[in-house]
Amino acid sequence: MLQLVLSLILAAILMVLDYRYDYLSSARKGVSTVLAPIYFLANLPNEVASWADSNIVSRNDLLNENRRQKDELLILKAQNQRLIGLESENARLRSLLGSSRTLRGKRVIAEVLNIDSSLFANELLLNKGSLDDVFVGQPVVDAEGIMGQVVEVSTSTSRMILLNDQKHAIPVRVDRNGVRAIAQGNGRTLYLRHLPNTIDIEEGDMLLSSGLGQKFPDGYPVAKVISVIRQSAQPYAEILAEPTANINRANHVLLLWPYHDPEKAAKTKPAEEQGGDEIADAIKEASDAE
Amino acid sequence: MQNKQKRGTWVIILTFIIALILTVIPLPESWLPYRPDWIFLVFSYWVMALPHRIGLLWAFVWGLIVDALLGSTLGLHSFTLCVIAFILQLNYLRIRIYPIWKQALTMGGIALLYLALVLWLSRITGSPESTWTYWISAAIDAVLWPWLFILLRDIRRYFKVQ
Repeated sequence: MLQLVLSLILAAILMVLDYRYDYLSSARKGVSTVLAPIYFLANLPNEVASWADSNIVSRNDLLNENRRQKDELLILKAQNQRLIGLESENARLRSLLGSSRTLRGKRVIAEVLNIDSSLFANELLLNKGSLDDVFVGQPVVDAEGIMGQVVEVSTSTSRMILLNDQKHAIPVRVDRNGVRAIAQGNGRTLYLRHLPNTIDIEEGDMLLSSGLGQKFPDGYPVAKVISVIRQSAQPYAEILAEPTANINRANHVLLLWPYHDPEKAAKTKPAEEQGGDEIADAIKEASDAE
Repeated sequence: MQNKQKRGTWVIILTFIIALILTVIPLPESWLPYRPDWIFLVFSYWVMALPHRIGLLWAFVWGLIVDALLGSTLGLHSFTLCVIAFILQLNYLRIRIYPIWKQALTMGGIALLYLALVLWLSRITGSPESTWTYWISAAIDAVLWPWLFILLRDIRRYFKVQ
């Protein structure tokens, strides 16, 4: 009985330490590293299926796929040409304004390990870890928009939370008119916090990341507004938005690194380091913005 | 029983590892609620079979490993498994002599307690609400218990784990 009480107290202390403070992250990292083979073993059936998918196909299918992808590549290249022009123009304009902001940093494709844990459905496990310089707080995007951020890194894997997690919030702006807001997850979609009923946001508006929290790069698509409910009895409008990224069926994601100019890094570092609690930061920014 | 040597620790660890893999192995979306709690089932079996060896210490350490695997707050599963180990260690003599169907029902009941503890603790530490389908796996555990019991008993006897 005494043993039980002791171990329950110890477990409770561990939970408090892990939940409230950051002391245990290295222990957790160590255990996760040891457990990496289990993740890869559990992911094996999936790997086999995708191997079979890419190896047991008819020549005709392959040719078709090849043709389709060539077409797609051509279209994307054409679009990219325009982008390069725009980027350089943007950089020139910014240098005229005296605010040099960088657009491109390192990026790495990570594979999503297909791991189920029903209690934590808004988290994904990625097959890149500290060996690949992944860091906590790193933004993760896919082809359609921002997916979330890394919350835990072990040697060869890392864990990310998705935008629609209840613990996650991201500063956004409306593409149409630049109105700024905080998009917080509610488990399935996003809702925009603390916006007055008179705010100019409509259904179908595109939300882009505003870059204000200094965690996410600016200008990536985040979500699309799916419903706006204004009730005069309520202090705030109820605005829901759906993430544009393929949150539920992504297989590959892109990890972004902020571009590091050694000179500038020295200057901007303190500002980057203070970004501790995402939500607190975001709320502070929102109140500053208002 | 005391003077016999401890044997076959690796068999116990191997079954634990298999349980861990089965816990995270991907399933189609519609099957998700029907995933049995492998961790609970395998752990309960070993407590019932070897109560003099598998107790609070194993519960604690294994719970920590499960927490690291699932990304839950460290200590959450340790807490839960310690409670389960305690209950089973008090009652293993009684549960062992139950007919198998009654054993299955009892394990279903304990599985409900396990699920409730995990749910409460994870709600405290901020995970999202769950739906009623969360509780289905207790019934699955009860149905699965007799088969798992026989399978693990044969494994235990074959490798003479004591």
